[in-house]
Amino acid sequence: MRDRFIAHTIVNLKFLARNRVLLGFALLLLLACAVLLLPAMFLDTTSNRFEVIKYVADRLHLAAAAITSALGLLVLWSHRRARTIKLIATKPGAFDVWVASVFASAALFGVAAHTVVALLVFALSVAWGVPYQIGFVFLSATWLAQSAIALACLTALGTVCHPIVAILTLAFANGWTLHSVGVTLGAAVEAGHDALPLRAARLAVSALYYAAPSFAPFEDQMRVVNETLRVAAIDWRYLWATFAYALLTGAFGYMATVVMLRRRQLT
Amino acid sequence: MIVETEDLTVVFRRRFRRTLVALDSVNLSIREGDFFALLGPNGAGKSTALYCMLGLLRPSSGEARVFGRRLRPGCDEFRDIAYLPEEPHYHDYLTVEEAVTYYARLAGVDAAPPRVRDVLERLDIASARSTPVAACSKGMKQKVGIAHCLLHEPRLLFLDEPMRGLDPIATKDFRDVLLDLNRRGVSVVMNSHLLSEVELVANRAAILADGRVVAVDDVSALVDRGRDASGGRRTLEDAFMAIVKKDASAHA
Repeated sequence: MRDRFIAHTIVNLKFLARNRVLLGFALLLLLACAVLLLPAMFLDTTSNRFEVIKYVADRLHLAAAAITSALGLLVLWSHRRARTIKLIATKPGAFDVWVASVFASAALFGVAAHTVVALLVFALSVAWGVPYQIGFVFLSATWLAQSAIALACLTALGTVCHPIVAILTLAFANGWTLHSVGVTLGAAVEAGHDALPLRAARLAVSALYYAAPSFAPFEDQMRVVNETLRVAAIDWRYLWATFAYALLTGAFGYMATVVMLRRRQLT
Repeated sequence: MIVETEDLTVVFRRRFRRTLVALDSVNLSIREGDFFALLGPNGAGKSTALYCMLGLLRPSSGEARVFGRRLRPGCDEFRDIAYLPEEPHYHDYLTVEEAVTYYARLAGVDAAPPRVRDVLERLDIASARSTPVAACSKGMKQKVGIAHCLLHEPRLLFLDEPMRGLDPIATKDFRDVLLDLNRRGVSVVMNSHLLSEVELVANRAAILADGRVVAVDDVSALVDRGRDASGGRRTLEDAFMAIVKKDASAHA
């Protein structure tokens, strides 16, 4: 079991490292990062530079999270499309170990990507003489947990539908979007548009909101940290709770992926 | 019996409520040590039968048993089974050596570098060990699969159209390796269109047409049956043509 897990993980990491689409995307991000940093070269106040660092950290973490989230989907879809999954299915202990390795490889990539961003932010702070805030570390950890939540959901969805459909489904069926839709519908009802379909839609969206995954389950509680980068003791507890939520979602995503793969016809 | 199918039926659902019967009550028995060939025209159901035996496809009714059990993806029986897919569906982003090592590790066998290199040398692909599988010819890709089989030493080997697209030299090399494995006790179940090759390697064969088994026997007996049907026919290809045409006219 352990040997197979290690073999799968190494091969998945090689797949990611040798994937030209991923490489191209990473190069594009590096270019975007360079463009983002360019204006900061002409800024001379510490507070302006702090804002630039915060902005760059936010954008780069978002990019790293987007890539990490899609990695499980990419590995799964590529192997299904190339039918290499048949070779995996005809080996002992097939999908439980393989899916675990897909999650592990993506998580390792996510840790590496967010760590690189955190180090870059630290290096920029030192280079520009901006006092380093521990909130940047907090921010990195939060983004990592959010990547893991999206990774679990997208990978599980990828077993039942096309990757584009999976991405669109998650783009709609998540806490943020459903909350916004719910608020809009609520406002419409409050404004007097009290038609039955509208009320039914509001109820349906509320039900979906509680069933759908949330990328930031404690967003309201952690808003101050995200804005000021000052971390209080209680915030670390919310961070651990976010990681616990990510673990739970990961376990659910893992089980759903294994079950759906076992049910699929692999011809 | 090492492989058995009992009333194996597969019906594919198509759009607009149309259905396609890929396998229709297929009954087959394959003995330990057999080199068994599944023959048939395109669309006869050979690959579908193989997928059912391997547990990659669930039958609509009936069942396929290997080692007396119904296989499902990743079950323990795969410790003793190796499978070479129809098209070279190998992990083409790996190098030849990485791919062989990976498949051997998944099968739970010793994949130490010297052992892997010995096998690659034996198959004459040692010089290409650092070449990505994607850059290999079809013959070399098939050798990657065979290298994995040699490391694995399975009890049962499933081959799906293994010789399609191979040049004569690669075909002979491949045939020699398969015969050697069979002599060492490995049972082989193979799909093929290349009847001349099947005649050289297989001891038993089944002919499928439109999802049904129209003949199953020793290869020599099938050849004889062809001779009886048309007088003076001598090859498996002739026998195959005679049997398939006779079945087609009977069902016309």
